[in-house]
Amino acid sequence: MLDIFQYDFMQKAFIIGIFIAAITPCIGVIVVLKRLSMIGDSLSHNSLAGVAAGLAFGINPVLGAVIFSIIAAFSIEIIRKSFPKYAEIAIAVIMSTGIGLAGILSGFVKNSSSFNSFLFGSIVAVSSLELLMVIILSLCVIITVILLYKELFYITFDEEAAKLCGIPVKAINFIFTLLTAVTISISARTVGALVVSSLMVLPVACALQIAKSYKQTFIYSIMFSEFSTVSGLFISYYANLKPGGTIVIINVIILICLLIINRLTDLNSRKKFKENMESV
Amino acid sequence: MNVIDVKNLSFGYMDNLILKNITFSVEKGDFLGIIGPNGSGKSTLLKLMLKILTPLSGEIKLLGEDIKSFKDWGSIGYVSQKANSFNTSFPATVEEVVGANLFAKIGLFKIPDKNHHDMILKALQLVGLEDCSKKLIGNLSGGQQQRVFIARALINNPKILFLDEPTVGIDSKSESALYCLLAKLQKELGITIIMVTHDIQDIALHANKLLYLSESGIISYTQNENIKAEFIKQIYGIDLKLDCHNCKNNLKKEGIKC
Ligand SMILES: Nc1ncnc2c1ncn2[C@@H]1O[C@H](COP(=O)(O)OP(=O)(O)OP(=O)(O)O)[C@@H](O)[C@H]1O
Ligand SMILES: [Mg+2]
Repeated sequence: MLDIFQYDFMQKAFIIGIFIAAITPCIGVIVVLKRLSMIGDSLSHNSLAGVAAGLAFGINPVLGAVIFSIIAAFSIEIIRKSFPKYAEIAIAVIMSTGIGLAGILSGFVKNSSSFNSFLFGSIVAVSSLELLMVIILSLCVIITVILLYKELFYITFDEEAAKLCGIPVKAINFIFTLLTAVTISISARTVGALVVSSLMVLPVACALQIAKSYKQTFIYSIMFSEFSTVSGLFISYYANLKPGGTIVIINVIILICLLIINRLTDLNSRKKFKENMESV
Repeated sequence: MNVIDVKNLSFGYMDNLILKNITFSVEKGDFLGIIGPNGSGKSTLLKLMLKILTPLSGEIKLLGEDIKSFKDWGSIGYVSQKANSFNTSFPATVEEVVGANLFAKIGLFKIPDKNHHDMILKALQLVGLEDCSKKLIGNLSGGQQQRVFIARALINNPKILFLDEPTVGIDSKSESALYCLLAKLQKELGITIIMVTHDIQDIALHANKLLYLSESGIISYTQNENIKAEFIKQIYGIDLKLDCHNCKNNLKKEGIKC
């Protein structure tokens, strides 16, 4: 057995990593396709404010993160209604609110190192209680996303038509907003508030380069996400790097490789076209 | 039986009254053409009948039931104006898009089976796109995309089909095929069709009722085949060639059986 798994904290880190890597792209696919990519950043900054509030007033910081992020998610939905075609406005407004609150509330936090651990995450330093919480919440997210797979697809593609064909759009949107907030706040605790958004968006960006259907986009996103998380944990352990950042950078490298491969195959097929035309 | 009853319907956006006191009804198996200039409220009228918009006053009944309590949306098909102005880089296949309208019927938490797959293929055959089922929708041409959305509207075997300018951007062969298909649906299955269009010649030929919306909000309505041409002439000042023989020949030339 690899020596990496001798340590209890690394075992925990892998379990958490695998769960987080499954749920972030599940939410990410829909968020990206709805063109709300920045929602991850917005909510994670609000969960940071929740963490600060928790630490400052002696509430469990993870609980604080979840509550703040849920409030922020629904605020975005409400503001979005006033700017139907400019979802970015709502996201930006709530993001600034989160940053402002986090700034003010962090002033009341006595032990700043615990606050910093939320900024960049502390996947190797989670307690058993938090581990249990991550597993349970992740399972909730995974099961709901699978059960509502086809409804979420239709709402994302064409909300008006989905409503018309009798899908309970409002209820499902409510559930999805809740799931997004939960996913982001528990991921922020473990991999870090500053990298959550990348975990949601990057695997989907990679999948979009090669997918030939919605289903493939979904499956590839999860595969890329799992691959980068597991390899990121290995590399960060052996090279003594920060895990959150390593995972993100691996994702970026995969994306760059895919972009280059796509460009090369494109150039190649153009060349073949030309050769064919000349030989005729 | 009237499948659609609209009584004293009024609607406006903000303080801009678009539809004033409109009353009409549509019988089962009717093909109603809605015509009128840009901005006269044709799309708005469809959206009101589909409960996408809520009337200021008046009453709308679908299949005999007030739309406020109407539940059977599965039996209503709708192709919106510019249905193909969606996000074209959305990674969905033609199959996935067309099948989406089955979801409410399949029910929450259940997955589509072989039977549903056959329904998707059948709907695609109706619009002549069965070979494109695995293609990404964004990679089709605009007219092909429009036909995908028509297939999506047909998949539930609707009792009423609402079409908002479905022939825009479609080549003449596919357009003829579409009218053919609509005639077939109307005659063989008794489907009621409501279609908004600017193509007065074609709609006057195929529809058995016409409804004209004008800027002043007035609505004219004719039920009689014989006065249809007169009606068009009165509104648009053009002579209609209601020569069906000629049109059937054209279809034959294009290789379409009608
Ligand atoms: N969302 C909206 N908000 C405010 N006004 C609107 C809205 N949609 C349409 N209108 C107005 O309502 C009127 C009717 O619009 P509608 O789209 O129903 O016209 P139409 O008859 O379908 O025209 P076209 O032939 O161009 O499709 C127009 O004058 C338009 O300015
Ligand atoms: Mg219109």
